[in-house]
Amino acid sequence: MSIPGKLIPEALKTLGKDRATVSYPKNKRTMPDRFRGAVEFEPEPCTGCGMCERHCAADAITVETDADGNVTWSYDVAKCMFCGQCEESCPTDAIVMGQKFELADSEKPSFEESYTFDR
Amino acid sequence: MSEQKAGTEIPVGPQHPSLKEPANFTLNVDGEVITGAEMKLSYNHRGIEQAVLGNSYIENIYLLERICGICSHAHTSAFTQGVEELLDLDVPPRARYIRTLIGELERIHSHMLWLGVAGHEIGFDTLWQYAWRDREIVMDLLEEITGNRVHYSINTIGGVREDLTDDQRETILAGMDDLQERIDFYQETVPNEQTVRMRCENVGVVPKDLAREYCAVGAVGRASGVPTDVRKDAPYAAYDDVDFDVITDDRGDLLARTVVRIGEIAQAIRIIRQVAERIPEGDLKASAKPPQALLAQVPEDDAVSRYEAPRGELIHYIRSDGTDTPARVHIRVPTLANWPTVVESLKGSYIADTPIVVAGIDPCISCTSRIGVETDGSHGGENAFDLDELREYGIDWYDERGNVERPSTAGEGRTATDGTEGERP
Repeated sequence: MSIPGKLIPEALKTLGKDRATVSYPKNKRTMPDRFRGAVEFEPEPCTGCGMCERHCAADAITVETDADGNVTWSYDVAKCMFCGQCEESCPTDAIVMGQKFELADSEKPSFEESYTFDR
Repeated sequence: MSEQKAGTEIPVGPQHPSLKEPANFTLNVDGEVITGAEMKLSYNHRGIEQAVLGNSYIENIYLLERICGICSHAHTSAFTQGVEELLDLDVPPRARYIRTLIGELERIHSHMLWLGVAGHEIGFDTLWQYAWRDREIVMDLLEEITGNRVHYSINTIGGVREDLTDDQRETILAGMDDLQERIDFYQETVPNEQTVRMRCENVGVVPKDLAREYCAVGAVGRASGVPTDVRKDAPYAAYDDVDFDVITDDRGDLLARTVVRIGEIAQAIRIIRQVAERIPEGDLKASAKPPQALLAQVPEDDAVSRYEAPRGELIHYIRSDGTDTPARVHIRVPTLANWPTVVESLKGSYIADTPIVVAGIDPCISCTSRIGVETDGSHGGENAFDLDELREYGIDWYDERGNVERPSTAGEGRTATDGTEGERP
């Protein structure tokens, strides 16, 4: 078939197609199950081993233990690059990559999250 | 890379010479024709090779992944393969198939992106929008399998982090059917379309002997008739188990590069179908040990890892010193190998062809900017440095710059001029 004979039907087909983009934020697409959003932390299973801190390439997680045995686990979502290695490294599944991705804020403290618990 | 200087000199770049990345070309022109060309790189140096030395092998996977937003899987694969060689790990077949699958999906998305960019550079914006719309098929698949459109983070030392489910295999095969239809359309129309032919035929020609002499890699080499492909020459992942052809062309012009890249998309679809149909059952990781236990075993050694990235051969060199951080990592990206061919093929081209000739090698400038040292063009010239001299030069340069008043980046007022660099203790 000649080239115009190929291109014209293609152009006409495209006319009838829906637009390829989503009108965000009015319409939102659903994220896949494996999507890696902000880290969600559960203090209960955490042993304070610090593997998440050690393997965090962005230094977004810090784990500190004081003299009384209190563990402080802190996370800065502004530093996080959502690779999911902390979830992978956590031996007790205390860390899960969540589905939240609309994380912009104008207040710096709102990016920081901290849990202190006794171990 | 300078030639005789005659006529007018035109600077192109460093802002947006054709792509949205910085590179600088100085073109000597005689009328409309370019008679000489010089280029300057390293406007985008981020010090990644140095940053790597301060991180463990696990952290470095994610750091190196961020060298490039297009071939992120290529960098992590090349790096993890190198570390696996150091550790003498045998990656299970299922993990090798999954790496192949992601690598080929990435190749399709990279080539589709290039096809769109090339269309845009020659003023054919319909092709650009069509190609980028069809690219979404692959982007959605990648997001579904790995969890992210750009940084897949699926590689880990000794295997992969995510499994491929049966549902996903079905989705991939269905996606490939849709994409095959589109690629058939492109294969038939793009090389024969009048706009494309007028802008690409006999433009930016790299003859076979020049491609060999300058060690062109990837689609640039293959479009000049050099059948170089790491997937065939030194198979990694599952490439020795799948059938595919190395697409070559011997015209060496931009049209040939376009034809080769579209042909490679068709081959990638072929590989993905085989992988989705034949993926063996088994483990995802070579060792059940936690990552830190693996890191503790890295011996003192070095390894070279080669990977056929969408743009060509990518090389990672890793030297370990027995700790969990590497002693040296060097990265040779395909764009660096292809730049000299651009400078040569610019000579004799028209000025108006500069954007498409530069974009024709599918350059990734942020990949390329490893180190920037100006020499007189020959190895070991009087401006060449060894590492110690370079370090000394860098310290002097910063000391000198410290005396100049610069806007402070500390505190709230970003326009204040009280802070100076170089006053650090």
